[in-house]
Amino acid sequence: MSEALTKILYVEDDDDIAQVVMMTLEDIGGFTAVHCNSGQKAIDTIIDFAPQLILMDVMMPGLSGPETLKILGQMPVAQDIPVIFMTAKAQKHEQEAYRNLGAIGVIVKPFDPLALSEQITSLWQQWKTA
Amino acid sequence: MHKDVAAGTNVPQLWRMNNISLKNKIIFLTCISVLLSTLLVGSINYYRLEKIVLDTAVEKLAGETRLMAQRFKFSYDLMKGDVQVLSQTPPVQGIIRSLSENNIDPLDGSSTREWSQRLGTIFASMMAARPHYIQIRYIGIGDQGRELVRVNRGASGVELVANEDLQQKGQEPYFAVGLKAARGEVHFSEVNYNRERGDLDSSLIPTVRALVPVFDDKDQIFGMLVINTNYAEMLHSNLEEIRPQENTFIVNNSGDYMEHTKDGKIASFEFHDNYTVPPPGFVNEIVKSSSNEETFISDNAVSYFVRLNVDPNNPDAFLGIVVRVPIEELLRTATEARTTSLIFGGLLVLGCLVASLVLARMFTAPLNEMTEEIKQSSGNKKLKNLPLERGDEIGDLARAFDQKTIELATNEATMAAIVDNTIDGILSIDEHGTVETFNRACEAIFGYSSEEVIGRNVKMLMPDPYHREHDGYLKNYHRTGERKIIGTGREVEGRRKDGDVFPMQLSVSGVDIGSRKIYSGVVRDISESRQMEIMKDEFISTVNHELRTPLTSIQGSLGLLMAKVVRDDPVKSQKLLQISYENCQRLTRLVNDILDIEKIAAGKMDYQLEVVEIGQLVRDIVESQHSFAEKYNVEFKLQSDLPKVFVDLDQDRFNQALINLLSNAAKFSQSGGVVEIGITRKSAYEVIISVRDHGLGISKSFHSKIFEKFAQEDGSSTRRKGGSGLGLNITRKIIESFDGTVNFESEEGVGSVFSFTLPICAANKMRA
Repeated sequence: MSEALTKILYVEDDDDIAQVVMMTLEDIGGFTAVHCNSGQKAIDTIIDFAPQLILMDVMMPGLSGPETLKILGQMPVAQDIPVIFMTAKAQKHEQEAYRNLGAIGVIVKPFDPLALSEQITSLWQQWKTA
Repeated sequence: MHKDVAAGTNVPQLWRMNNISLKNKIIFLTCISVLLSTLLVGSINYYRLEKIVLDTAVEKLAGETRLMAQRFKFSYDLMKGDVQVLSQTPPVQGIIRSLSENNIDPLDGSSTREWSQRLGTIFASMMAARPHYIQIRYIGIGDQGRELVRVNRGASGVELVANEDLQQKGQEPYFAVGLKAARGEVHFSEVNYNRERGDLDSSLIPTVRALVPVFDDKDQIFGMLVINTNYAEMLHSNLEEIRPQENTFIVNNSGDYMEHTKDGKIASFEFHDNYTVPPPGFVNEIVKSSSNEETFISDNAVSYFVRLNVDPNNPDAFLGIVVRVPIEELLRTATEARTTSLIFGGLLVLGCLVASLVLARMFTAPLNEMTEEIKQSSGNKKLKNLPLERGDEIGDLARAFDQKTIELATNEATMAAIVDNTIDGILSIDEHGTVETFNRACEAIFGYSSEEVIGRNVKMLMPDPYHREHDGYLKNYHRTGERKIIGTGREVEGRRKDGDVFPMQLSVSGVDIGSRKIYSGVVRDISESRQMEIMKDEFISTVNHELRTPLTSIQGSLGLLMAKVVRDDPVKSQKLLQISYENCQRLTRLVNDILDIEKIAAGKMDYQLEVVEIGQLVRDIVESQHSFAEKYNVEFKLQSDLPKVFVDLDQDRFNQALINLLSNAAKFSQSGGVVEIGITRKSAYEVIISVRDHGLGISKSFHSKIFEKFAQEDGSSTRRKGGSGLGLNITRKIIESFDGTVNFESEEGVGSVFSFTLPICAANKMRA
């Protein structure tokens, strides 16, 4: 087995969703998670926190998810960290577009909190073994 | 299918008459009919005339011939009378008596010689009176028919033949006839040459003899008296007297004939047993014929024959008088009439030619003028100079044309109006792609004026690859009939004058007009509707997103509450329940707002307009929102002295609009802030309701988007406020439906003022 997934950086502008997801990641998934409410804050946080995976909302004021991803891709410390998008944009072609940006997976809102951690782990492992 | 457009070039050759101009036709037909009728009438008249002329001529000829025959009969009668008279003269019986009594007449003692002398004298005097008598003889039956007295016409005159020169005529055929003849019966002999002493007379005189028997006093035949007549002389002298105007033939039953020309000469005299030339055809026919009169018509002559029985004792003997006239002479009148009618006919045809020329010109000139007029008139202009007032067929034609032109012009104007006012662009091109028509909608769509496009290739309206491929495509279509766009409505790209490439719907149809093929295209600029579609897609996508966002919180919270580890933590549980509840409220607002937006968009928002006093209404609304203000820890402060004005509006919708402004003001105010609500008369006609906060203000970049759907300013605080992003959009729509406007002023860090400007309504103008 490769190394286990423990550290997740979570980027989300909606406070309510953020609280629910953080509770899910920490209490259900047992991850060490840090929440940023904007792309900019995530970029600022990434060096100190050094997450194994980034879970990121797409529609955010300021830097959107894809924009943040693009910037992270240009940062040596961040460019190898896999990103999973969470989005309420539920249409197939929209999800496809996000994957094409370089995300390793897309999780559709609303999500099942009891299955979320497993979903993330599974995507992470797929990425690892790929 | 690709149709052969060459049909027009292969017109079958119609009857050639159709290619002759009307004018020439009239001339031709008139002349032909006049010519034919002239010929027909002329011919009928000519043949009738010919018959009449011929009949008349023959009748006349018969008359002449009969007259002539009477003359000849008279000659014979004269001979007959002469021979009878001579037989009654005394010397005849004197000689009988003297011969029976030894040459001395017992009655007066005259000797035979004396009686013979006397008779000779009588004979001589008779001869003197009758120049064509050549001999008169008294022949006795005794001594083998020896002549008793004979007078000859010799070279030196009339001479009494000496006794010793008298001949015996007992062998002559006429002698036998005389022996059998009854008293007083005159016989005529056949015509033959005179014989002297049994031989033919060397002078070959055609001779006819008149003979009468002589009886003695005992009624015994004694002899006969014979007059020899020069037949030719006799005929000739008759003819001399008659002086016939035409060729005349005298034929007898033997076939001897004499031809006497009209200039008075004996052309020929032929004996039947010695023809030197073949006799005319009718001679033989006459000899065989038994009719008394007959007409013989040969190719070039008409001959009339009258039979004259000269010898009552011999019914076979006859003299035929034939007058022959050349046909052309007879028909001269008819021929002249024919010539006259031919000349007349020719003149008639000429006259008709001239008349028909004039008539044809008269008939066709208005037609030609009309044709010229129609050719030269352009477009749908009314035709001038048509002979509308004429009452004939040309007038009918002109009126029909005029009517059709008016109809055509009306149709054309109607069509033009339709084509010009239709929303869709309509253009047409010829088979080479040259633009022929370009309507106003096309001008609007492509940005070119029709003058800039007509006459040029339609490619100019196409971006690549259509631009490059169009010529080849048209050629290929003409060749194979394979179509890409024809008949189908397709989405293609067009290029505007400014180079902008835009999506358009194009439907092309090919039309055969005579031998030409044109293509008409209907163009619809779908860039706007495409934009609308994109916006609609975006809206749906946004609505989807906006609905899913609170749902995510709700589902996530409730899901977590199902997990024991969370449920057992009362603080977390409480927090999650609160999140669920607030997001349910948010979802409800959102759904309501979306419904309102859709209702407004569909024009189905129901407004119950009534005139209300605005100050009171605003006061009631502000008071009802105090609890909301408390939640955000702000104060709603209403202006104290409100003007009393009336506005025509729907109270519930105005509520909704004002609450939107109040809640926005509360949300974006700092905690403990004041929101000021004021009402001022802008003028006698307008009132302004304003809501002022002292919050963060709105960034300049967002000013233009503030009324758009789902518009929320970027910033960490926005989502937190839980707005749908539809509130201001709905508010503006509501106020606009009251004929009002929504305005705002804002400065970042200072605050914002949102206001409604509404028309003031007279207080007494209350709705029923």
